[in-house]
Amino acid sequence: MDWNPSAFLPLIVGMPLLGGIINGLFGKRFSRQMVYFIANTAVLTSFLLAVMGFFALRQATVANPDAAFRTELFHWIAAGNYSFDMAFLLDPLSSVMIMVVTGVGFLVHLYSTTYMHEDPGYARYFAYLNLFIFSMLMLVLGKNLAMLFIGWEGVGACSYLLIGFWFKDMDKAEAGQKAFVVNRIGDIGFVVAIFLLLAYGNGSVDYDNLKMLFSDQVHTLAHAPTITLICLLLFVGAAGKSAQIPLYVWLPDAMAGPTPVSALIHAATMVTAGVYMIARLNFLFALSPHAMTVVMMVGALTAVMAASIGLVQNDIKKVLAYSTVSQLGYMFIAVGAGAFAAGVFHLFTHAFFKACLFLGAGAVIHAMHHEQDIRNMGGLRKKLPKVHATFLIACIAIAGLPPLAGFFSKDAILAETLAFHPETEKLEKYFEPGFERQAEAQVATEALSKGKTLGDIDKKDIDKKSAELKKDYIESIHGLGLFRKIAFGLGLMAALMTAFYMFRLYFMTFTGEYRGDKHTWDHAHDSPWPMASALIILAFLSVVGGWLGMPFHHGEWNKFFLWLEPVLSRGKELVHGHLEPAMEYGLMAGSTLVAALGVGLAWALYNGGTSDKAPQIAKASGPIYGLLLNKYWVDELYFAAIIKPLRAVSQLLFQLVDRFLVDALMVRGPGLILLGLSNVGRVVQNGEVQAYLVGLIVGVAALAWYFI
Amino acid sequence: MLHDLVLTAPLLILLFAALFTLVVDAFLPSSANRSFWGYFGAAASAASVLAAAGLWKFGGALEMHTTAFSHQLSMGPYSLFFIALTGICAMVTHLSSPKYMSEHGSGWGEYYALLHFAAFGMGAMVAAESLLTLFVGLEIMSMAIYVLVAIKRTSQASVEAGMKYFIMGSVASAFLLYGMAFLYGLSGSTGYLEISLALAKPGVNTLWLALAVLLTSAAFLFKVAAVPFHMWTPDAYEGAPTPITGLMSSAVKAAGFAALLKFLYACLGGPAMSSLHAQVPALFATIAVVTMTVGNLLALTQKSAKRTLAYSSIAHAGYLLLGCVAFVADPNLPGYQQPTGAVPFYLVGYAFASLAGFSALTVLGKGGEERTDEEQIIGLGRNYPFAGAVLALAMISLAGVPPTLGFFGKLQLARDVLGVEGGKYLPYIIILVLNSVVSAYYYLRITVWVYMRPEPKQTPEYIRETSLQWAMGIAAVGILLVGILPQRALQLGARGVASIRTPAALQSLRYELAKPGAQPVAQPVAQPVAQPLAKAAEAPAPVEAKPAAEN
Repeated sequence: MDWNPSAFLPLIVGMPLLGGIINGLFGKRFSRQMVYFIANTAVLTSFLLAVMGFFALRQATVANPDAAFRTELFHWIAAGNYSFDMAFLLDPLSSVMIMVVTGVGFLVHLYSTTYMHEDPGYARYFAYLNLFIFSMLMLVLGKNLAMLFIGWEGVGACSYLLIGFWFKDMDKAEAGQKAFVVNRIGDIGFVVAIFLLLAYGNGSVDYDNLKMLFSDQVHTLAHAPTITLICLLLFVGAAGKSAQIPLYVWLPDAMAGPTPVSALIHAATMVTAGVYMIARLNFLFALSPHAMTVVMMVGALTAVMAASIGLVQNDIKKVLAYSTVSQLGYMFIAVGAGAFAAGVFHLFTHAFFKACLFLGAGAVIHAMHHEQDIRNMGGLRKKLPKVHATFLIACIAIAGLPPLAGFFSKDAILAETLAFHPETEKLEKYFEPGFERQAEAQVATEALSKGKTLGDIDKKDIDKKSAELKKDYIESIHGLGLFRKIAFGLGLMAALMTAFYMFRLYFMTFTGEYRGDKHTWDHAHDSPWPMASALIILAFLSVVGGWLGMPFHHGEWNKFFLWLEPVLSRGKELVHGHLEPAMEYGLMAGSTLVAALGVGLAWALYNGGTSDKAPQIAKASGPIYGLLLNKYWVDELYFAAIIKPLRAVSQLLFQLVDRFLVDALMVRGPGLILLGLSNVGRVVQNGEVQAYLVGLIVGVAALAWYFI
Repeated sequence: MLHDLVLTAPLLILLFAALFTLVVDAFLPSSANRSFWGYFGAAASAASVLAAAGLWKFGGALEMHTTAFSHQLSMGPYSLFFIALTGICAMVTHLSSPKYMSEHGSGWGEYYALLHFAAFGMGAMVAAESLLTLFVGLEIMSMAIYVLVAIKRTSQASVEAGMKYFIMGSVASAFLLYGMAFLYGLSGSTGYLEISLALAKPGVNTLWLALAVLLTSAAFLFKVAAVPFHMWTPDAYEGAPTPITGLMSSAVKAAGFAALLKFLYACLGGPAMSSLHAQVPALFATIAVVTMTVGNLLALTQKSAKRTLAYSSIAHAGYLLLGCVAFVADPNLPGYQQPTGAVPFYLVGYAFASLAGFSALTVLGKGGEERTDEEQIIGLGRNYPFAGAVLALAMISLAGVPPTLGFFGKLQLARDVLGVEGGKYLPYIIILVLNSVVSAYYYLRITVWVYMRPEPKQTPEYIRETSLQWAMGIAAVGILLVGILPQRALQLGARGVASIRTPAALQSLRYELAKPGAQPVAQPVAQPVAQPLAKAAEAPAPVEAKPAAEN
C-alpha cells in the first residue's frame, strides 16, 4: 500500500460527527432502522478507516520507526504568539486508541440497536453516542493539547447527557450532574497545566513541539519543581476523568445511564482518557519522579479501595463500576511507575473484557426486566447460555488467569512496577542549569538579607549551594524507591480482591438456584443476535488480546510494546529497568497463584449461589463490612465537608449580592429613574404636527447658534 | 451613451420595473389577484442587486469610468454597495407585502410601483455626484415614501402619518435646497468635485459656509431621524403599513446615511471644511449621543412593538451619527485615522435586523388590524414558531448580543471613532455602550413577550404566506450569515468608503484630460477646476493613496 492516510484522518473524526448531527436534527422523523443504520455506518466507516490507517502506519514504520501521519485542517486560533491548530496526528499510540474507540464503539452501537429498541429516545440516544465517538476521536487523534481538551470536554458533555439520558428520573439526572461537576474540578487543574505548558512551549502545545522541548539532554529553562507542578496539575485532570481518589465518586453513580453507555464510556474509552494523556505526555512525566510517584500511589490506593468496596456490593452494575475504578487504578500504577506501554496495554485489554462484562450485565438486566440486584438472580446459566459463556471468559480475563488477556497486562504492570527505576544521572544533568539558577537566587537573597551587595557573592558559594540542592534532589528520588514496593504490594492485593469479587458476581448470577420471582424467570430469554455477536467478539478479543504483549524477556514477541516504542522512547530513556528471567517467571507464577486464590475463595463461599458462610463472615468482620458496604462513607463526607458549606456560601451571596446589591440597588434603581425620564419625554411627543415643526425650527436655531 | 446606460443598469432596472408595473396594472381587471406583483418586484430588485454586483465585479475589468451622465452619477464601489443594500431591502419589502397589503385593502399595483420608485430614488441619491441629482433623488424617494406611508386610505392613522411626514419633509427639503443655494453661491457649481475644489481655496466666507453646512445637515438629520428632527418618526413609523415601516427603517435610513456621508466626505470633506473642522465633528458627536439617549429613553415606556422599534431606529441613528464623526474629522490633525467600513457595515446589520423585526411584525396584521402590543405578540413563539424566532433573533441582533451582527457593528463603530483625534471621543463611546445596555431592556422585553408569557386562551390569527416567510427567512439568514462571517461585509464596506475619498469624478477627469485633445468634461466650471487638478495630480493627498493601492 503506497498511499498516505493523512487525507482521511479528518474523515475518521468527521463521520461520527456527521452521523450525530443527522440523527440529532432529523432523527425524530426517521424510522428506527434508518437511525441505527446511519449511526452504525458512521462508526463502522471510522473503524475501517482507522484499520486502514493502522496498516499504512505499519508499512511506514518499517522504513522509519518514527513515522507518523499529520494533517493540519486549519489554524483555529492565533492570538499573539499563541496558536492552536485543528490538526490530527496518527502515530502508533493514537492508532491503537482510535481502533479501540471505534472498534468497541461499533460493537456497542450494534448491541444498542436491540438493547434500546423500545426506548422512545432512540434517535437522541444514537445521536449522543455518535457525538461521543466524535469527541473521543478528537481527544485521541488531536495533535495538540488544545484538541485533546476539546475532546476531553466533549466526552464529558456526552457522558453527562448519556448518564442523565432518562432525565425524567431525578436520581439519574442528578447522577449526570454529579459526574459533570466532579469532572469540572479535575478540569481546572488540567486547564491550568495547559496554560503553564503554553508558557513553556512558546505559545504552542503541539505534541511534537513539546516533545522536542522536553527531550534535550540539558534544559536551560526547566526547574524540577515546576515540571512536578505541571505534572501534578495534569494528573488532577486525569484523576477527574479517570475516576481516581479523591474524584472517583462520580463513576459508580454514572451507572444510572443505559448499560451500553456504561460499557463504552464508563469502562472502555472515556475513563481511560487520563491514562492516554499521561502516556501521551510520557516525556514530561518521566522528568518528574515525584509526580510519577504520586500518580502511582494514588493509582494503587484507588485500586485497592475500589476493589474492597466491590467485594460487598450487590448491584451487578455497581460491582462492575468499582471494578472499573480499580482497574483504572491499575493503569495509573503502570504509568506512574514508568511502565507506560504496560499501562496502555492494560487499557487495551481492559477495554475488551470490561466492555464484554458490562454488555453481559446489560443482557442479564435486559432479560431480568431491569432487575440489577444479584441477590435476586442465580442459575441464569440455563436461561442465558451465550451470555453466560462470554461473561465467564471475561471474568477469567479480568481475574488475571493465563492465558487470557488480563493476565498479560496485569503481570506486565506488576513486574515493571517492581523493576523500573528513574535514571537519576540523566535527570540531574537535565535540571543542572535549573539548580544553578535556584542556587544563585538563594545565595543572592541570603546575601542581601545580611546586608551585603550582590558584588560580594562568591562563585564558590553558588556552586556549593547548587551541589547541595542537587544532592537533596537525588536523595529524594532514591527515597521514592520504597513506594514502588508498596504499590506492588497493593497491586497484588487488588488482584486478589478482583479475582474474588468477579467470581462472586459470576457465581451469584449464573450458578445455583434462581432466587427472584417466577414470572421474570419464565420470560427471561437469551440475547438476540446483535447483542450476542457483540458479546462473542468481545469475549474472543478478551482471550486473544493479551497475546499481542507476550512478556517473555520483553523480546520481539511483545508486539504491542514494540509498536508503541517510538512514542514512548523518551519516557523509557528516563525510567527503565531490567528483570532477570527467573524473577519474571516467578512473578508470573505468583500473580497466577494470587488470582487462583481469589477465584478459589469465591468458589468456596458462593458456588451454587449463596451459602451461610458469607453472611457469617460479614457478621464476624463487623464494622469493616459496614464500612465497605457504605463505600467508606465518602459521599456523605463530601456532602458534609464540601457541598453543605458551599451551598451556605452561595445562599448568602445570593441574598446579599444578587437580591440586595444587584437587583435592588443596581437594577431597579436606575431602571426606575430611566422610566421616569422616559415618561417626561413622552409629553413632548404629543402627536401635533405644529409642535413637531417647532421642534424642527428650534433644532436648526440651536445648530445655528452653535456655529455662528 | 451606451456606457452610461450599462453603468446605471441597477437603477434603470428599478425605473423600468416601476413603469412596467404602473402600465400593466392599469389594464388588469380590478378583481384580479395582484400578489404576483410582490414576486415581480422582488425579482426586479434582485436583478438590480445582481446588476450592481456584476458592475462591482467586472466594472474594473471592462475599464469603465465610474461616472455616468456627465458626472451626475457615480457608480463606484460606494454607490454599488448601497444600491445593493437598498435593493435587498426593497426585495424583502416586496416579498413581505402582498398578503398584508390586500388584507388592508391597498394591494394595488401602484403600491409596488411606488416601492420601485422609492428604491430608484435611493439609488440616485447615493450615486449622486452633484447637488441637483442628490436633490432629485432624495425627492423621488421621499415622495414615494410619503404616499406609501399614507397608502392605507381607509386608516386614519396611516393618512395622518403620511400627512405629518409630508409636511415635515417639505420643510426639511426647503432647508436642504436653501443650503444648496449657499453652496452654489460659494463655489459656482453644483458638482461635488467642483464644490470641494472651490471651497478648498483660501478666502471662503466661513459664515456662509457654516450656514450651508448647517442647513444641509439639518435636512439630512431629518431624513435619518436624529434629535431634534426626529419628531415625525414615531407617528410615521406607527401609522405606515408594517412592510413600509421596515423599508423606512432599513433602506431609507441606509440611503440617508449613505448620501449624508458622501456629501460630507466628498463634497465638504478634507480642506473644504476649512475652519469648520473644529466644530463639525463635535457637533455631530453631540447630536449623536443626544439622539441615542432620547431614542432609547422614549423606547423604554412604549407599549406597542412597532412604536418601540420606531424609537429604537432613532437610537440607532444616534449610533450611526457617532460613526459619522470619523468622516468629518480633520485629516490634518495628528493621530488621524481613515474611517473604515464601519458605518456601511453597521447599516447592513441594522437593515437586516429591522427588516427581520418588521417582517415578523407584519405577521400580526391579519384582517386589516394594525396592533403590535403585548397581547398580540404573546404566544407568537408557540403558535408561529418561525415568525417568533425571527422576531427574537432581530431583537437580539438590535440589542447587540455578540454572535449577531449588531455586536460587530457597534464594535467597528467604536474602533472607528476612537481613531479620531487620539481617542478624544472616548466619553461618547462610553455613552454609546451605556445606551446599548439600556436598549437591551426593551428589546429583550419583546423577546419575553414572544416566548415567556402565559398564552391567552384563544389563538390570534396570523398572516401566513409563503412570500412573507421568504422575507423573514432572507432577513434572518442575513443577520446570521453576516454576523458569523463579518469580515467580508466589512471589507466591502471599507472598499466602498475608500472609493469616495477620491471622488469618482476626479479619476474620470484625469482620464479625460490624459487623452490628447480631449475637452475637460465639466465645462461650466472648467476654469476653477483645472488648476487645482494639476496640483492634485502632482501630489496626491496621503489619503488618496490607499484606494489606489487596494485596487
